[in-house]
Amino acid sequence: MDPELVVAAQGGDRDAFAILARASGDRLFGIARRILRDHERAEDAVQNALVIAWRELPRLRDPDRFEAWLTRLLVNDCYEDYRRTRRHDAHVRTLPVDAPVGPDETQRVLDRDQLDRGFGRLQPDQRAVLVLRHYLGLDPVEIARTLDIPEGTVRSRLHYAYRAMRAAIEADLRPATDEGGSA
Amino acid sequence: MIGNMDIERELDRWLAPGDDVLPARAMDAALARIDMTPQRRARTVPPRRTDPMTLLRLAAAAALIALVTAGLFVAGGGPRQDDASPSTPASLPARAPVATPSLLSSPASPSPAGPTPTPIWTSPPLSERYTSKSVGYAMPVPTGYTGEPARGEWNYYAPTDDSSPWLEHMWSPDHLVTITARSASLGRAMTTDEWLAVFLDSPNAPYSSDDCKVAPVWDTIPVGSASGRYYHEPCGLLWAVVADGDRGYVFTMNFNVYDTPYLSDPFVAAFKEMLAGTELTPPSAPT
Repeated sequence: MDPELVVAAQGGDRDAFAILARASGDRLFGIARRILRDHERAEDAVQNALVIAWRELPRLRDPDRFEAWLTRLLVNDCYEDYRRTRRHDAHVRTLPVDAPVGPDETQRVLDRDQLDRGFGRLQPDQRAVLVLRHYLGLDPVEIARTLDIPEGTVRSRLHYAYRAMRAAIEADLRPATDEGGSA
Repeated sequence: MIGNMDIERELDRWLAPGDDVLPARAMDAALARIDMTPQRRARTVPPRRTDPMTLLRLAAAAALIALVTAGLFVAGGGPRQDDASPSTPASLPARAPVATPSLLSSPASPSPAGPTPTPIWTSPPLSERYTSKSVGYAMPVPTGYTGEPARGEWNYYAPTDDSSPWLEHMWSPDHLVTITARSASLGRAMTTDEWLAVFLDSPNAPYSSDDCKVAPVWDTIPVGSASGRYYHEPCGLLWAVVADGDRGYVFTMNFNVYDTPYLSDPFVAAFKEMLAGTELTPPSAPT
C-alpha cells in the first residue's frame, strides 16, 4: 500500500482513496465473507469499513499502518453485523468457503462440510483470529497488532477456537447429532 | 477422520485464498457513499508550553515588526489598491457527489456560481410500519429498513451510547440513515415541554461541539397525534422529544452525508414524515 496515497487521502483526496479502496476490496471481501459466511452481509461490511475508513482517515497517525487499520475496521464491522443480525436471524444462510479441492474429493467434501458447521458455531472474535491466521497467514503477533489487542488474547482466542472447532466436529461425527444451538 | 487430524492444517486448506472478488457494484456503492461523507478532521494539537524568556523574545520581535510596518505605512501613504494581494486562502477544488442510480434521484453538481443544486437523495415511500413493543411506538418506515429492538428500560440520567441496551436502532438498507428510539417512565404525567426540560438536564442532552455551538431551538413538531419538540443539531443528529402521559420519548435520525441544506433537507423531511405518522403506545412489556 503506497503511503503517499494514504497521505493524499488523509488530506481529502477522494481519488487517492478510491485507488486504495479498490486495491483492498477483494482482500477485505475475502475476510468478511469468511467471518460472516454470507455474500451480501460481507459486501455490506466492506462498504461500511471503507466509509468509516474514509471518515476517520485523518486521525490515522501512521500511514504505513493503513492496511492493518482498515482490516481492523472491517473486523469490527463484522462483529457489529453479527450483533445486529443474530437477534433476527437465528438460522443464517451460510455459504461454503471456496477452497482448492484436494486429491481425495469425497473425503475432502465431507471434511469441508464438517469444518463449515464447526466454524459456524464459533463466536465472531474466534472466527476473526482464525481467518487472519489461516486466510491472511498472519502470526499471533501480527494479528495482535492488526486487531489492536494483546498477543496473549490472540493466542487464547486461537486456542479456544481450535478447541471449539474440534469439539463441534467431534459432536458432529457422533450419531444422532443435535443440530440445535447455533453460534 | 477429522477428529484426530491436525486441525490447523485443515483450516489452512479450508480458509485458503480462493476466488474472492468484491462485486464492482459494491465498490461503486461504497465510493458513492464516500463522496457524500465528510472526513472527520484530527483534533488540533494543543499548543506547546513556552518558557517565559521565549515569550519575551517573541513579544519583542512582534513589537519591532509592528513598528517597522507602521513606519513603512506612514512613509508610503497607505496601501495602493493595485498592490492588494488576495486575502482569501486558496480553496480546494469542489467535488460533487457521484450519482449512482440506486442511491441518487437526480445528480447535482453544487457550484457557488451555478443554479441552486437539487436534492440528491429522496426517501422512498413509507410503505412499512415498524412496531416497537419494548419502547412503545409504531413508526412508518420505507421498505427494507432493519431494526434492533431495545433490550432494557431507559434510565435517562445514565449516559447513552450506541451500545446502550435501551436504545432501539433502525437502519436504512444503504446505511445512510440510522434512526434511534428510546422511552422512559417519567413517574407522573408530563407535558412535552416539561419532559424536554428534564431531558435537557440529563447527560443525554444533545452535544454541542466547539465547531457547531449554536443555541438549540426546539421547534414544535407533530408526533402522531401528540405535539413534540424538534431540534436539528448542527453537524449532528435530528432530535425529536415528546411526552405521552407518564412516558417520555426521544427519537433521533443520523444521516451520513454533509450537513448542508441541499443535502440534509430530504433527510429532515423524511424524519418529519416518519414522526408525523408515528403512534405512541405504552410498551406492552416493560423491559
